[in-house]
Amino acid sequence: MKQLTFALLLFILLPIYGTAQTLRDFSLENLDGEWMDYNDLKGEQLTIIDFWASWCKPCMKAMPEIENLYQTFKDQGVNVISINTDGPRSISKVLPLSQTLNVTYPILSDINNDLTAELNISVLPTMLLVNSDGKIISRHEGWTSGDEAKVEQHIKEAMQ
Amino acid sequence: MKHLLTAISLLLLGSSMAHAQFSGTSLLEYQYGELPSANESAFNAMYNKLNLNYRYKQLRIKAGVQYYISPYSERNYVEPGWLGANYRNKGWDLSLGNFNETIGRGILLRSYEIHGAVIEDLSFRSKQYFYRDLLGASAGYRHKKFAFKAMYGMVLNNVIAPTESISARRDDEIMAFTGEYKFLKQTIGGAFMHLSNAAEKTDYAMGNISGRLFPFLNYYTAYASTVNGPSKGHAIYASLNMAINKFGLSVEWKDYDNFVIGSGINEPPALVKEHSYRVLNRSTHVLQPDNESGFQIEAFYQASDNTLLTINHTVANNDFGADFNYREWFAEVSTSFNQSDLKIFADYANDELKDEEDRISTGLNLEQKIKTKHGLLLELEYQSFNRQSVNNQNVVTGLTYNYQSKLYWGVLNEWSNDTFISDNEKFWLSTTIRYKLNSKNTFQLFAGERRGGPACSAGVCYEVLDFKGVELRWMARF
Repeated sequence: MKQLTFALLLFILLPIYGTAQTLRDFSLENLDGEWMDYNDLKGEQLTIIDFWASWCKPCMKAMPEIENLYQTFKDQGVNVISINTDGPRSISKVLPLSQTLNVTYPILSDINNDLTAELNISVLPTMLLVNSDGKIISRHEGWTSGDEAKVEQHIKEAMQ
Repeated sequence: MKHLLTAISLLLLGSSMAHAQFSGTSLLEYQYGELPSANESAFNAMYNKLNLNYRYKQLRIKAGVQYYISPYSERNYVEPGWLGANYRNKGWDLSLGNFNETIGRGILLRSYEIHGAVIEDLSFRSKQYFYRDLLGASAGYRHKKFAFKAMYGMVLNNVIAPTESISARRDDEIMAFTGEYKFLKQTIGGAFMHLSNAAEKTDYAMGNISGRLFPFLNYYTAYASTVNGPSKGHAIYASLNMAINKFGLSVEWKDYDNFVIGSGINEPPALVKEHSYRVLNRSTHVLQPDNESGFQIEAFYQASDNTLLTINHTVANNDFGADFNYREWFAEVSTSFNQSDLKIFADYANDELKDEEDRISTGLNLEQKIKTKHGLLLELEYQSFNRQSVNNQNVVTGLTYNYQSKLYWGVLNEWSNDTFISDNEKFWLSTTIRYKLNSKNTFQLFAGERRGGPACSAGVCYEVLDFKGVELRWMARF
């Protein structure tokens, strides 16, 4: 019982202590099988990192909207990095699906889910806004119609 | 436990002194209820999984614990896990403790963590997180042109509950080497793995070639085989994927024979579509790497900016003395108009292994946006199949209200006359409220009766048990 009380106390106190997470550089393969580094792909001002999977319906809904945001902000120092979390079962569908959806931003494969675990991603899609210092300044989970306006607002606020 | 807490305190102190970073997640689940299939009354139970991460420059240290508390002492446990360190710098990647690794698209080894999936099985009746990792060490180096990795570890067998000994849960010991070389957008790779457990010692080898032939076409092929062991086995997998303008195509082929490694530490590509629709997800064909061959073809067509057409055809053949064939045809239209998103699907399958004939499934998901912040989701699904000349049907109806991504409130009703489920018709009725308090805390309340059965998520299938009662979840990130 003492152990449990300890654990619960810790659980309650930790969120108070926590601060915004920052990214450490990572390397993942793109759809051509080339290793790509985060530092080479990140935006000068802001980086949008989108975690998704081919079997995730809300992710499919979000991707065209993210492409629109990418086209709107890419000349203002904003880049988008797409992190695909498909496992062996469905990874073969990533290229045909993403190209059919006209996605032009880089797509990297986190087939081992290492990055997904490191950044505590528990919901798909999850969109992170990362500033030039590597600090995660916003986290958007799930996707419903109208969320694009909310994300656009976050981008504008982050760039001010 | 004390040692773990001391370690966490030191990490906290260290992080504040060195401006390092500390983060973590927690999943707390409280249940009051019963398994309708078990002969016992309703009881209170609590499960918690807590993960902590500490990062200082290129070093990451992690620690975690899961525990389960119920009135039944033989089901309760406190298990430290997810303990380890990882260092990444200039191409080097070193891990010690618990780590994840997948070799050859899961053909030799697959580790995973299915987020939010807390599983319970009828034999142990204890709850645990659904994941598979290795406990050991790995070292790898990655260059633009080549990469290699060596690893040693004991693989988790998540069929055995945490109430059992670590030797029972991690009986499979592996030692593996992987390497790859890249040229002209092509990759040649190889792997060797030695498996040792109480029953056998076996060596496996694998070779794979993958890459992009044209901007619109990529491929992956792999051949794996036992090279030294009590019995022979092999796995062949190939995929060809292409996209031209608004048309995408994925073609995959498999031939697996006697290729269940250890307690099932590998998970070769299944080549069976993972459906998000409830009736289809539940009635999926589960891969049998003992003996299975077949193919899967999936095509996408973007008919307009708002309309995506998906067609899938799956064939799987099993030879267990007698032949069992699985055939599935699936079509889906996903479109948007005005303030609505509509998905309609139709599926036809024959599953000889499960003795389901002429299985027809159809349904729709209609999501209607109301003003700017509110929405409604209507789910209607119907399934019919014959088993031993008896017709069985399943019906799902669901209605969910949402306020942005902050609040979801849904009611789900299922009906079935499947003779394998119940002699009579059966209803399941439940309600779920999910509330996101802020970016760090989400609460979810379930009340009613949940229908169990096979479930697949992120490419991994598992069994969900029926449950009747109340369940409250608190998911936190810090």
